[in-house]
Amino acid sequence: MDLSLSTRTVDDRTVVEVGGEIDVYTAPKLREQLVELVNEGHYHLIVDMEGVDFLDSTGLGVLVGGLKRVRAHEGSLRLVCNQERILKIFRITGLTKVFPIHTTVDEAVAATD
Amino acid sequence: MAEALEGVPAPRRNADAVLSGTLEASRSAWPGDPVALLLVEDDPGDALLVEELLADSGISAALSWARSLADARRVLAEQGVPGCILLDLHLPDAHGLDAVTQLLAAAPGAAVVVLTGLAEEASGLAAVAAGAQDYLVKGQLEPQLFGRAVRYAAQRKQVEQAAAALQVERVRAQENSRLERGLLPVPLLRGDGFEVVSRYRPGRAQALLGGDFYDVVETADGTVHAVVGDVSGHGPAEAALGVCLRVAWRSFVLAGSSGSTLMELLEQILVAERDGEQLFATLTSLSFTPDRRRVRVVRAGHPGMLQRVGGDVEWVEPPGGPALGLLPGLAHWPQEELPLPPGAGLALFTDGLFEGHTGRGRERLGERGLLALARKAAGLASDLFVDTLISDAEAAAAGHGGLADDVALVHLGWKQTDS
Repeated sequence: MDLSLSTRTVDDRTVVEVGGEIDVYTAPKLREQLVELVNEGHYHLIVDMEGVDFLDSTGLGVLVGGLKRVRAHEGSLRLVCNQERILKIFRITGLTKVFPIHTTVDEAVAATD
Repeated sequence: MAEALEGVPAPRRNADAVLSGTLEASRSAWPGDPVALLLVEDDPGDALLVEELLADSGISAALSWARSLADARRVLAEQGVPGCILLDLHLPDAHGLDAVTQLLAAAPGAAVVVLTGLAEEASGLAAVAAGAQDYLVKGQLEPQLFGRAVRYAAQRKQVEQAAAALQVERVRAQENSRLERGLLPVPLLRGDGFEVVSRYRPGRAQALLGGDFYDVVETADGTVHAVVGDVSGHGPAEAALGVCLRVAWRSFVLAGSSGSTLMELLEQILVAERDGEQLFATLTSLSFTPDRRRVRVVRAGHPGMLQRVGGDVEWVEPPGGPALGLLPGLAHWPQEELPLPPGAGLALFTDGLFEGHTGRGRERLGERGLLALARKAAGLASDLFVDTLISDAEAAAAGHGGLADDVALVHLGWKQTDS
């Protein structure tokens, strides 16, 4: 029941690599990280979900909240995810229509709207 | 004061000790003794007197001495609030009740015992009325009385604070149960031809009230409508939004709304009422047609459901639209019509039921695991089926302290007519 976070910059994008479980207990940590990045002026975020074992609705709420924040600065929030389990959650809740989902970080970095 | 002192263990112990000639024994420290005392007194002679009284009382607390209220504030800031504060009512910078109220304002958690002059009993009583724990009359002081007053003041203050904390807990529990009642209503059915079995199980983290909700109503045409929903996140704001959505759903359904229109209306309510933009809600709304052969399903970002027919259970997940609040004004929710076999039951639930941990690692029960549990319980009567499903899911998560999230589960179906 832990969450790991690390951030790095690739070109003008900020990649947040998330590992572990995003649930009711750990989601606040991810929220803080996203809020901090936006406050520091990073508006083009890529959240790499490849290391995520579990994501619940609280975690989804945090991602949606992050998206609203970057959009307020005309930014973007892209996800990198290939795991069927996680993708299913995005599909069921309709978030595939909200977040651009990529198969690799490189693809997400290269993507433009 | 007299009646307040009843029930204190110290006097009896002391009396026994004196009778048996082992006064020293009564002077040993009590487990509840304050470890630090602050004396606020400008007269060095009186301060010395208090120091001696303390030494003879058997309380082994460290005594700090402040000569004025300003001095006392500085000591409090440096050392924190001690177990008991002894306050003289004639200070260079504060007098009488004013000294008591100022000191209590500076140290709200403190147990204050006031020191008064011989002819000042009235001001001692007034100080107690203003929030001091007790008063001692200078000139009538002796070690046992002093020790008892200090110990009792410190003890009673602790009890007061514990009672206040308990009251806060109680108010929160009442608030939670009020919200729960709002989230979990009594089904509004016209006849007894339809069976509803519903359960709500709060999550392990009790303080985290979730926004799971359900409702069942029957409209005039005999259609039975049901909903299960889940507001993302946990807390009073989420729970209140859950109540709001449930009542909105009930109102719109009774007013004849259905399908995508119903979802659009609910989303409008959610967007208008929500506390933060990140809040969204998932729900599944069902309509059991009066001919008992079909059920219409509208799914908004919510997980699938379990269909029970005879001794078998299937996972049913008809096409749906996004969760409410994600794409305000842009989304569409398809309404699917499914055949309802005779005797079929549908179980709607929130994700807390299958998101619990299982085993030792990071495994979760998952949809597949839940279906397996449901199949094991398939032959049971509806209420037993529902209870078994929850207790099995709970048992699977036992190694991780039980299910963390709230669970709402509703089993719905027409009753079998006397066949």
